[in-house]
Amino acid sequence: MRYLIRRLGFYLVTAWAAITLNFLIPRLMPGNPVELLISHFKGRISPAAMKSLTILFGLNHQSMLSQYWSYWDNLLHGNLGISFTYFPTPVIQVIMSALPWTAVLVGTSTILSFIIGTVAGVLVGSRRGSWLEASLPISTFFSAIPYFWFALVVLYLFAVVVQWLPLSGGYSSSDTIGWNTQFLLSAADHAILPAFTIIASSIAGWLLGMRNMMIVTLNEDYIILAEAKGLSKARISFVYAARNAILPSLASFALSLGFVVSGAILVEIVFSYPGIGYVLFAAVNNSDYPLMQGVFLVITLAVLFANILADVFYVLLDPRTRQEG
Amino acid sequence: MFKRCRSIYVVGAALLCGACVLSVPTFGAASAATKTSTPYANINLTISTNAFGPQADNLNPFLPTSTDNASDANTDMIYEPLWQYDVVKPTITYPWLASAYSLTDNDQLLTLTLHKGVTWSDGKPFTSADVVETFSLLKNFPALNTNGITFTKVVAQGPLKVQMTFSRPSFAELYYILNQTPIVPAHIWSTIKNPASYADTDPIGTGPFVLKSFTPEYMVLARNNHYWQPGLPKVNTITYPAVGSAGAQNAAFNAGDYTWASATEPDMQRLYVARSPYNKYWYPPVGITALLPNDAVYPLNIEAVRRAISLVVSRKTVSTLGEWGYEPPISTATGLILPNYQSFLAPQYAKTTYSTNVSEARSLLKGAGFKFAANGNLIGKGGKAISLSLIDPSSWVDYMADCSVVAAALKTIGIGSSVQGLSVGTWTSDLATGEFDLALYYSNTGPQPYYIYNAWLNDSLTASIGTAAGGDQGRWRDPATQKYLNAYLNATSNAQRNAAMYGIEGIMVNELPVIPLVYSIDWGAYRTNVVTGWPTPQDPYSSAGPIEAANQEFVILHLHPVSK
Repeated sequence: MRYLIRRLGFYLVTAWAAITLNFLIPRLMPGNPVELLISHFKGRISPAAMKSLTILFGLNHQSMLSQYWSYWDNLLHGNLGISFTYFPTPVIQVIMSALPWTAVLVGTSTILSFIIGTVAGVLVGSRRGSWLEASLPISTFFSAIPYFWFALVVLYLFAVVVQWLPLSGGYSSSDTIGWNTQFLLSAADHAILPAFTIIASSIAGWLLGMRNMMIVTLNEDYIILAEAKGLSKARISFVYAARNAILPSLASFALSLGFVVSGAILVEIVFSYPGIGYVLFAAVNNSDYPLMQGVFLVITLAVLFANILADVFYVLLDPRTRQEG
Repeated sequence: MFKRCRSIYVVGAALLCGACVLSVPTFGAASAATKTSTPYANINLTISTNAFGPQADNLNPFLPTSTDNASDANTDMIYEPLWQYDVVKPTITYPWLASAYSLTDNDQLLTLTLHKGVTWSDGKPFTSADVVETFSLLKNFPALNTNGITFTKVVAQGPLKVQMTFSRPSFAELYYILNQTPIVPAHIWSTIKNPASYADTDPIGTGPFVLKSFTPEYMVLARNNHYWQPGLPKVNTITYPAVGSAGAQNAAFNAGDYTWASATEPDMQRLYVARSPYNKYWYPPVGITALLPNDAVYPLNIEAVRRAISLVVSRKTVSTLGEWGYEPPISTATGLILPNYQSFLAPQYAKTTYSTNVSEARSLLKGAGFKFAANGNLIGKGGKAISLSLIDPSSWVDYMADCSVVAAALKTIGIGSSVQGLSVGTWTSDLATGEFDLALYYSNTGPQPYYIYNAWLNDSLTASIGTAAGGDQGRWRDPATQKYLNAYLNATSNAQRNAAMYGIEGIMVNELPVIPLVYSIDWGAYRTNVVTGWPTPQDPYSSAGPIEAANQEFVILHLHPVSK
């Protein structure tokens, strides 16, 4: 218990530091939202727009300190401000319309990738030297090649050449968003290609980690004892070895769940997927301070929460962490 | 203009160029017609402008951040202007919500007569109260006044007559008042407490279309069955997909998904036109891509240096190497867009052109006190070799290619240069604060050359180096230029206005405050499988791309179904 309380204190300090950085980083970037918005129009806007937009965004010359103060004040009242890019849409609304797409796509892909990779890792680790080991270089290849290029090739093959799957977007123009079959089928159809590329490029990490831990665990004395007692190979692998070998994988899985909400920016750009990664990309491109702060905050909190989760998992699963050193 | 969209397309095109050869356009915009009694039920168009990504549900026409403005989609389709202008033929304009206007009392009184029989899409009649409300909004909420329209008062004189008074001649404001201000209904907007933060999710306009459905990925407009122009539009729905990346947009363009797009291929004839008998394009010039020197810093503050640079940069090479040959070399040293601004061209400068002549450039520089070192470097003040920075956003690939052409040309007169590809944020900030030597830069648009010259050269828009400037980023401060710009603003006759413009054309020719290189164009690619009647070089009733403001509605109303 003391262990967990100590950890919680650590997380509070981390949260304060991260939230402060969220405030500082967007303001240290070059570019200002008004100039950027005007340059977007490339001359199709009057020079007078500089004045009107500065008023619109409320960018009067407040000191950094008072901005920081009102940032905390707003934050504690649950107010994330109004986005510049999508003015006057509140940041929370922009995030909430994008987050479900990312959470479902990246979340499902991460879970699938973890399950497939881990099970494959157990099999490969317990059958060393077999043909299954060929899966190692193949999966590593897909995670080593630049994701952007890989995704474009997949997109080209399946959406352009054979046209089995849609080119871009999260749904079709004829769909009404909601719990109707047409929309859900269309959304699933649009998610197949991006999900496939995420899984293909991330599976190697789980596979390799699990296989290596399996090899270490399979050399432990209690495994040799189990073998001596004549237990079946499958039972030894899955019930005895895998249960111990999976600990590090579970921890990194909990952590990777935290990164689900930060989205996969490249995925969402290549497939024009309406998720949070694209929102962050747009926010950075437009020096949209409130939106950047909002997205960073969501990511920070999710990562911290995932860390807490990983800590709790470890305490529950591994008795060694419960003992004071 | 429109460089960015095109620029990224080129990357997409390179990555996906196989698509052009292999895929056959399988479907156009005509999807299955729903059972409905609306005319033209099976006429559905898909329009793509920029790769702008998911949008928020907001159609407030005054905000540059609203979906219709930020994405260049849906210009004038719902909210209409008083008058329609044509960027390719600036001298021809069309009465729209107003049927007549007159500028009297030393150009300080604008009288508008409104079109009779116009209704809002909720059935209420359009009257002078709506026009008064619209302009009062701009006056009461400076945050909405993006065009900086200034007037003393606006009053209704009866149901179809409006008078606006000004404190000085207001000819230059006409374009913004008549064409760039969307007219909104008073019965709705007068009830909104803060129109600057109003997300207009249920727009009521006078235009030919109404909002049918909105999702972050797709905006769908449907025919306004009570549109005031009888029998129009001959289109049932229009879909604007929010494509997140240029690569995806290019792939959809190749697949024939877009009826109308602001798009290009490295070789349009082979990669677009040859692939379907329905695929057509027309890229008319609508702006200028220029080399913007920082006129406040040495050595670019010396006219001979700017002239020497202009003499060694081959406009033809910039056009063919940097712009795929689509943006034609500029043909007049006045920097006017021709043929659009032919009627504003001063007779005495009508024959001026740009030529390439390295030896003349070298002797010009020697005459101005510069020396050439043994290794060919140009040596200036204090015996230092001249080196200039050349900045542009690295993502605008055609600008970067133009920069390399310019850098190579500068080398022929011994000027070293560093081409810096920056993020758009850094670039706009460096340009605004004047932290640069040279930059490829675009021009403003408008029905008279004044709008271009004003944004480039008006020193009331500029600021000292280190402070952000809203215009005249080249820091051109010249009393003569200022005199002509003010003379134009205060002029009350076309003769006076022309004299002022001729004066600035002379400054462009003689002093080169800005160095124009090529015309920027309106990227208009369209398909004739469902509808026809698009603008063409033979029938140039409008510019051809969907981005050019005020043209989308005008073009759509000219379209009619293909007779089968």
